[in-house]
Amino acid sequence: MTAVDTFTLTAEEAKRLLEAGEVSGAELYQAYLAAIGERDPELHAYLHVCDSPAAEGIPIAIKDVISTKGVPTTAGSKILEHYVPVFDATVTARCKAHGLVLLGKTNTDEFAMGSSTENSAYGPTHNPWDPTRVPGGSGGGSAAAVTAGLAPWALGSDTGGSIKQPSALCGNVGLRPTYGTVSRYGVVAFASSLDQVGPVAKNVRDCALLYSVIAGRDDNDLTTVEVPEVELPTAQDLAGVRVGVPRELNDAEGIEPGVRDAVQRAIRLAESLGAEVDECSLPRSVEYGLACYYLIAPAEASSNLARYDGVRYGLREQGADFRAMVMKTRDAGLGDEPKRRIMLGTYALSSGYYDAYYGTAQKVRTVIKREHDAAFERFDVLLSPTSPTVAFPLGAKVGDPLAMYLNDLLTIPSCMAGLPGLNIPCGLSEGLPVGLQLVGAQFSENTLFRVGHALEGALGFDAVPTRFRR
Amino acid sequence: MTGVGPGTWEPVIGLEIHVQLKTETKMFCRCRNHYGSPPNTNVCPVCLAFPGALPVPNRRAIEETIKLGHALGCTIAERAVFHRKSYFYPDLPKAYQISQYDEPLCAGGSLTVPTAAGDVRIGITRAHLEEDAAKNVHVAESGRLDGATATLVDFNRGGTPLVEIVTEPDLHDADTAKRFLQLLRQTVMELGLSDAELDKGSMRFDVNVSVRPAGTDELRTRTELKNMNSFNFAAKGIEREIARQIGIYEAGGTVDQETLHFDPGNEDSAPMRSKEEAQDYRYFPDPDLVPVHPPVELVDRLRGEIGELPGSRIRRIADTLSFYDADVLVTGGLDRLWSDVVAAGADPKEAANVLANQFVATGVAPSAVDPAELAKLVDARAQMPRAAFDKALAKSGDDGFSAEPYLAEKAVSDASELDPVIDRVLAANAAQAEQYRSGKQGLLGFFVGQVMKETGGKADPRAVNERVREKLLAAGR
Repeated sequence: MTAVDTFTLTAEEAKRLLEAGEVSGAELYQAYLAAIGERDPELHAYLHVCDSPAAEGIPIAIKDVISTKGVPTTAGSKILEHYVPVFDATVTARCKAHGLVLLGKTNTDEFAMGSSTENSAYGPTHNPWDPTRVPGGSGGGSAAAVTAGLAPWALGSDTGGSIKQPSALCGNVGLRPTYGTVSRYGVVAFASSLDQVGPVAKNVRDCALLYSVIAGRDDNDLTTVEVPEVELPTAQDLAGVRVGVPRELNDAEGIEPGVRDAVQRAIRLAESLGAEVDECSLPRSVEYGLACYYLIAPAEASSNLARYDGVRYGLREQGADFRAMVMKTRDAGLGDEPKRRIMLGTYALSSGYYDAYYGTAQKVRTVIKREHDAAFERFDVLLSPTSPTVAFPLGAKVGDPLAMYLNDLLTIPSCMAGLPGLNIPCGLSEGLPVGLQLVGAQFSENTLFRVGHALEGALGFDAVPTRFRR
Repeated sequence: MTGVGPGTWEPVIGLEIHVQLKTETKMFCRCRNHYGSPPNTNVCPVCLAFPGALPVPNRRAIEETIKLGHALGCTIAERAVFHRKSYFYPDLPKAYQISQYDEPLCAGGSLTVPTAAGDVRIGITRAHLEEDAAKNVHVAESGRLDGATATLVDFNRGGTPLVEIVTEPDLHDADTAKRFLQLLRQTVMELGLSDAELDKGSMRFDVNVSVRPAGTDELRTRTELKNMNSFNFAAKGIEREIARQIGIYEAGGTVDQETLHFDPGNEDSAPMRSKEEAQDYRYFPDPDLVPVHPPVELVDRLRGEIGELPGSRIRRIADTLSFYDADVLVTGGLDRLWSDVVAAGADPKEAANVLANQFVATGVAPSAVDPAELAKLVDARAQMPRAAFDKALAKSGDDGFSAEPYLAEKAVSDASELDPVIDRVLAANAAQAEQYRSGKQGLLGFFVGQVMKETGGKADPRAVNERVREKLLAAGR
């Protein structure tokens, strides 16, 4: 048997080892279980670990907002504490159909609402690079699991940055696909018009592979479409690629100098690989993106979370009548952040306020989309930092929701436009990973993979956290 | 009708009708759409609102709503949108109902209701598609004396397709409202969209009633009447409510906006009242669904599938028969059989009488009947014993039914056979005979009935009628 180093083993390599018979599925699975046993007590990336000793395929971790038949799916919330789905999400079913084996369910901010995974009702996840810091969020569990070698790859979900931002803070590769390319069926809904499932991986090729497994039209999700065939990237250069550098996303207030420097180096590297680099501007997207996001997402969330009433599943508190039961159940079962967003969203949808808030935000969303469309007439990909900062200390922003929301300033505009975005690590600042965000036109995942792969090769980022290097 | 002099108050009535479509599957999932299954057997993650489940609209339901839209003369939307309508209730698992708001499938039509006094055109504001709620079953908790109850929810009905039809406030009397509802029911049944069975709840309606000084066009405060499960009940409720509101205004009071819930089990009980809460349903377009753009070819094809509608048939048949007969035949679903029976040679009026009275009582499906055989029965009715005629009608829907064996049974009309029976009956009921002679003419039927009974239904009713009258009068001289 080949010794498996879960820190460095890619899924592609794992597949080769399995096919060559150099390692068995059970051995592979055991290697990850051992890594989880060793490091997860410190990191808390998993909410639930499966035990499938007879596993044959490549293991995968799945964010706990994604339904897994027979395996608890809590969405990081007390209100779903003992909920066990009777059906698989389409993405789960597709992973299984491709022979992937579920390792476990990863931690998330409650209902994917957060940027640090500190809003999980089951306690925060810690950053593998520095356990005193957050892994980002909401998909901190999936990102930390991949970086710490607790899974070769994972599924995340992204509404306003929940895949890209944790990947940035944990130093791995995460793709938020074009809205409509990956089924949302069975994914606990946060904001339906923004939610997208995507892969979290060690490198761009693994990311593309996993995307090819989950993408494509699903009869159970009307918003999905057929997608172009996924091309695994091979090119090492960027000849002919037009790279845009949106001023507002690169000069935004709050971007740390170390982050800016690492991103600038990556942009210069792109130029040296043959890309044509030029500046561009997305003024309205950045100025209004965050504000509109915090109307649309809470509005949809207030509606999507209304089904947690204690009647059919999940937590139920006792009450004198239906109303009292629902109120007590929701009070006890939902944390502060979902409550905050439900209230914001309910207000934004209220009669008399709808036009001013939700209606206007939808119009601005169209403006943001057009502004991006115009940029993609000139460019193939837009580069910027993914997160303005590196991983921040646990607890640093818990008391300040607005500061927490600003973490998503740079990821939100393209999410609002429904566009794909890829995070790749591009260096360290203060010993912590810096994420580079690549945003492409609708359905241009293959372009993002190509650019990401070439840059990744040239950057040579060592994805194993310094404290775990041997 | 309202108990108040005409020309004083004008009632203003609007209707909101819900019709359950009889599609194979539910509106947004693939569960069976079936009434009467054991509780919670036609359910799935979608209609139970499990986390992550998503709706996919039923194509058939959309097509049938378009068809109904055509029948109601509506404009079919080029773009229709499903909205979420939010409220918390145990029978609403998502805590929102997927419905339509400002972009319904069908809008701006009308249904013309023929009445004895002429046609009345009722505007249709809209007809839209939505999902039904589940069913709450309130049960008393066993072993509790304080009357505490529990509520069980049966989700079989939850998510079944429902069409909501809203009329303009164009109705001004209870009778026309009732006729409108009957005509609408017949229309949806003929289109094959729904069984529209009131007792099973597959057709339900709410009525908005207000009154105003006649001759004005103001709209005063309206009340909403709910839970009425029959057309007569609705008509009665409307009349009572009109009278109540007029009474209030004439006493110098004001009508409160409220909802009146009727007890369907007891038509005479006073309705339960509840204040209308200003509900904020927080409508917004359902982001899980995409706008519906019905293709022009489909809309045209569906228009072509609609035959002659009941309203127009009532008007056509009323040229031959009375309006009343035409109305009964069409709203009873009997007019096609009537046309065929008449075409086979039966007398139109005689055929209408038989169909609207004796035939309906048999419960035989009109579509199962051979019109030629029925025409023979209608023709021979006067000559046949009543019992034989009724028996023949009851069998008229059987496979290969032939009228011949029944026609062979001739009614007894010979006076020599009838007289002894008549004499016996008159002698046994001397007091009634005296009453008849002193002017109580209605008693004639009583004597005829007694004679028919005595003869085991074999007598010819017309001959009996005539002979009884002769004998009663003769005895009085």
